[in-house]
Amino acid sequence: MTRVYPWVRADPGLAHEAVGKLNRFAHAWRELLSDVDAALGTSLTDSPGSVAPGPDQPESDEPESDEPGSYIPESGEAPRAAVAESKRRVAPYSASRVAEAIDAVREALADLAAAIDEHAGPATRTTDPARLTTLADADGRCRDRVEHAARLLPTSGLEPWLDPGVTAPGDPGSLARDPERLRVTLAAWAAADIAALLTGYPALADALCEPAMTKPPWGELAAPPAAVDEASSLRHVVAVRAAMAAADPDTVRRAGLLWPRAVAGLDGAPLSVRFEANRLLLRQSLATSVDADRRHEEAEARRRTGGRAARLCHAVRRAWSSRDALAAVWSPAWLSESLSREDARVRVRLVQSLLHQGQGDGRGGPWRPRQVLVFDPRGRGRVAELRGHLDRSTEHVAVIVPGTGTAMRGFHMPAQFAADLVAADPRGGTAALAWMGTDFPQAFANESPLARFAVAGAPRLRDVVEALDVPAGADITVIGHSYGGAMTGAAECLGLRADKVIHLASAGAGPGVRGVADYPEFDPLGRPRWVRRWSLTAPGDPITWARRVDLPGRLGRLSGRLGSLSGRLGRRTRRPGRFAARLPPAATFDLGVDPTSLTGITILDAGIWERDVGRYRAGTPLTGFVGHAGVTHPATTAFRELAEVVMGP
Amino acid sequence: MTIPADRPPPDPRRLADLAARAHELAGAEGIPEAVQALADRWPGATSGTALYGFGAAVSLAIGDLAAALDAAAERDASVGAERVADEGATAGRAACDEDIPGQVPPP
Repeated sequence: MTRVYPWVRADPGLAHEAVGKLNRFAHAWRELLSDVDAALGTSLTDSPGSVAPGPDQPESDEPESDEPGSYIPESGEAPRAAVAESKRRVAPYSASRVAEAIDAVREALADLAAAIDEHAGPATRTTDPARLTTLADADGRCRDRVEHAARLLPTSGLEPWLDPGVTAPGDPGSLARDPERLRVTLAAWAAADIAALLTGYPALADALCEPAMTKPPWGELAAPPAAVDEASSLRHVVAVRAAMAAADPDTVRRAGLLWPRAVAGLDGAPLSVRFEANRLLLRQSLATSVDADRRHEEAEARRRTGGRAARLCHAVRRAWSSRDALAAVWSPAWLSESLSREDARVRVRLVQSLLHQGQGDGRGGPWRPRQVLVFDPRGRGRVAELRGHLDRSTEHVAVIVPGTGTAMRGFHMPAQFAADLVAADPRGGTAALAWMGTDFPQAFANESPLARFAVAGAPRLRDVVEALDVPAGADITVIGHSYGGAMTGAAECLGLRADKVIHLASAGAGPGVRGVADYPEFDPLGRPRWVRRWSLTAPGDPITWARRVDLPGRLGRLSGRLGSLSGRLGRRTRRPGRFAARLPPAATFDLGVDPTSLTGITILDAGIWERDVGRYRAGTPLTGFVGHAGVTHPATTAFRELAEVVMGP
Repeated sequence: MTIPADRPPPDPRRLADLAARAHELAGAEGIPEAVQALADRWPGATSGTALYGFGAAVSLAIGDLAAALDAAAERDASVGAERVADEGATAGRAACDEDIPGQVPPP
């Protein structure tokens, strides 16, 4: 049966636009290849003279053997040189296949656009069954051609674009299927050679990203501590750092390359090693995304053809998840636990951005990859990214803890905030970490009032700050935005290492916190804490309504037994972390007192929009709902003041 | 990197620039945006999924070339490159501007 749905909304202009973009893309691609050839003396633009078989024609798995560019080593020639030469001959074929594939898709889309033009018309309101059948057929043909084009692409990860400089040990395809043998084989290699090999053969890197049967060096330290509590995880960070510092740097880097999943999120491991390991994980995540999208399509097809109940559930789920405003109010468990297709696609875009978008460092240095400190796409997803440099010249470090609604699809917000802070330092001495290393509440009606997210995230926040290796003399400012303010307060209760804490449109001072005395004066390692605190909230920000609720505080002000009870519910001991295990049920709604009531806290003014941004005119006060997120925008007084605190003494 | 014997070593800055362009094609402004936008806004059409897969696959393939160029530039880079590319504080800012109203709901 012909489905009407896609075509009543199909806009042929979209297809024409995509065809135009593909034209420009193909041109840019050929230009790039030409420039690479000119720079390296390669021959990426040389067409091997192949003719891509049509969708109905069989493809050869070994195209190189019959191509003009195939290479037959002469007798007596060194094997390594022969392999390198043959690799150089592979690349032109790959390059030409990419160009062929793009051309094929461009033609397929152009034909589909023409069919829509002819049979649906600009109004796209046709319900004529014959026309709909024609359109569905055109759609099917387009799909076949696109799928065929995709098969032309060199995505196996076993075809080096350029000679990686090292020869693969044996058959890369066989090694890619056996990660443990690959680890054993590479165990004696220098880390730089392993990195070069994995760059040349990404399939080998993907294999190493699979869960490992073996453990990297340092025994139990390589695995995260069983319990993430008030002190043990912090001691674990210190122990990992000490072990890594004692080890040979080459050994440490090798471990990150061979066990990327174990090392990428290991607090205490050198940051450069973690960045490298996370890039491997990102690439593997992208490689598996196509299969995931297809599984989503199959699941949707099953639901569409299922019973009425299945179709109804599917419709409700789609309706709910596709409306951000609705999902932001109430996030039912069945929605938050299942990743929608749209979410999955947003994650792919994030991964592409993390892999391929450069980052500036405020110092005018060269293009550099983004520095991903944490990447775990499971569940709601976890990401953390460092902007700027962390070295001896670093003067200030900011850690940004975002708020409700933060998920992988919204990670660009804290990441942008971090980038803006780094860029705001004219001396280039500021680094900023955008941290989403725990689950955040997604809806303000049924998740934001709960303290459990702050309690669960607090030790992770404290540990990642400890793991940053902040150079001596540099100060640390932790900025908790919205719900992140409560999480920062909870981390303070566990001995968060910070010189300054900014409660930015903060939901509360931390679960159970009734005053500054609830923050410990020493961290679990016995180091004294000297923290200065600021608070900034735009007038009319709805977050102030949430603060006013302050249920435990209100109970505490009641007399008699109620006061006594609420005191037990709300008051925390000075021993950091214990409250997490002893949190009474009623306290699960306690995000702490209004931060502005904390003794010694400095209140900052949100100010105005200092320049035109979209529909906001310069000079307009930063207020209301917009002010909740607007305080992070560099065009506001609020941001300038934040930057002054971060970069101040 | 294997370079033909009769050629001078490549300029690392040029290599880094080429790598940045390849990264841009692979993720920033390349096929993913052109094709995935179409796939996203064309719900239900069977070609949409195929287009999406194609976009991701192209990004993957070109990203591998970008990584290879990065590695080549790193290996050959004994002098610093001068290219400034702060895409984060410019292009990304525009995307965030659109998201300000209500992007972070209050708890």
